[in-house]
Amino acid sequence: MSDIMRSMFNVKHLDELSRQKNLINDMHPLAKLIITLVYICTLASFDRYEISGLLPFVLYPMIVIMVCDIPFGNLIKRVLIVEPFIIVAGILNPIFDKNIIEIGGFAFSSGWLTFVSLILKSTLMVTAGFLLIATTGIDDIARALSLMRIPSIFVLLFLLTYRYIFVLMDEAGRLLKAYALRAPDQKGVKIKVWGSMVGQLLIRTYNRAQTIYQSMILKGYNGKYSITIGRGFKLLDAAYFVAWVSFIVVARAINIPLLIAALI
Amino acid sequence: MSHHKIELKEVCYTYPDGHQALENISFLLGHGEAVGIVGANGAGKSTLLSILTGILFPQKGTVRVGDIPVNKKTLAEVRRSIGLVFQEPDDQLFMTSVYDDVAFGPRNYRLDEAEVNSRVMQALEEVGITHLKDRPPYKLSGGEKRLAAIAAVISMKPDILIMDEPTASLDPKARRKVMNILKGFSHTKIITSHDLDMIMDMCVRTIVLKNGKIVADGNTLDILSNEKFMDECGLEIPLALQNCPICKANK
Repeated sequence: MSDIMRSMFNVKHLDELSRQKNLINDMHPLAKLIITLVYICTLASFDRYEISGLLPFVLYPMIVIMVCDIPFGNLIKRVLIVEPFIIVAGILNPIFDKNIIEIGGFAFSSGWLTFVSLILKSTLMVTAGFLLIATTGIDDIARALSLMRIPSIFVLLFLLTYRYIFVLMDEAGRLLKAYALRAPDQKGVKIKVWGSMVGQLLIRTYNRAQTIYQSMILKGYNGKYSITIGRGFKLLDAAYFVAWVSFIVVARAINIPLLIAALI
Repeated sequence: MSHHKIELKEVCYTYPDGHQALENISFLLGHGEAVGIVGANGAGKSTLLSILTGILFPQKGTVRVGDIPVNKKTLAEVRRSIGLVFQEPDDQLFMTSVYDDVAFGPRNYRLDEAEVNSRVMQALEEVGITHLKDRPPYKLSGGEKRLAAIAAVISMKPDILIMDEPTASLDPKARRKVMNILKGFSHTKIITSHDLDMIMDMCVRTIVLKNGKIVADGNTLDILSNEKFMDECGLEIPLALQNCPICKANK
């Protein structure tokens, strides 16, 4: 129960990190957004058996974490929440992939290779996503999306979904707190109560979302997202952008670990 | 033409589940009036506020704000002149900083940033929370949230200010601060509350709702000091008018 509240404070905390003043936070949001998208797409473009070629890509999150002073534990916890979904997606690979390969004298299904590759790729992608929020903040990301000419309806969906998550977690926290106070000896919620609790959660969250929406339309909100043009693109932003995109392209084109191994 | 008046004529509203929340509601509010709307729980106060702002539309009767009838076509215009402060500030503070929440309304009016900034700073100064402008709303105390929600509404410079339970859940000092701020506003004010002492302090005129009908509409002191009548409406007289609990002297 208190974990949800704590993690809600933490999730919001991630967005707040973007307010700190450091080199990367001050970069133009559009540069950071496109770098993240290029990073994610490049990772996705790798062959499913590729592992060693992925290793240089760990450099990007590592450098961002160090420069922006992002609490590593905080970030890892968030990434770990997503891991079960990734594992479930790939867990059957070793069974379905019938090829056998040999590494170091051991023979095993190449499905394990695809599994490890999947986990590595997905974890890096998720980390890049979180780092984008931590260095840019949701409002700036939305602004960058508008600058990329993404239709405002999608930008609004993105913003409102993000806000809705907090409303949902807030209501979930309240429900769980109320339950825990009347079921002191239990750990967690009894299965036969799940159905009604989830139903309640959805109805209450929907009602709250309605009220928040009403307060928005009473203030003249009409569904159009207007960009307040922030600062312009500077030379430093361009340099940052070119540096990272070049690195990503090179790391994709050449398998750097293998190259280093060959040279040694 | 006065933008500051509100007129309801024989308004009736029934919820989809069949519950009739308002029956034959008629009143006229003039420019600059401060009116308190009181009633027991379920009397119809919140429904009435939703009708005034066009969130709900009555099945019968008419609502006019200024001289504009409230219907789906005139909503944008009507909402420019009415500012509604909800009972629950969390439902009104949804941006990542107090500044952005207070700027939300003016930005929707497509004002340029300089004008938005001046309105925001003015609103924050009026409620005395300029030092909180960069704080995320979820880190504010109850009283601060209430003030932020009020600032977020007055930054739109409405002609009429409607407040749903403005002093609910506030500690005595925060309550006094909100009351002093509201007294300083020159808008036409409609305040619903269970805090009868505040209504007595701030509103010259009071409307009493009972089971969706208006059962009294007149001078605040006359109505609120009538013990028998208040009891019939499911209320009590204000604490300030009750017997002194220390010396037991009758007031």
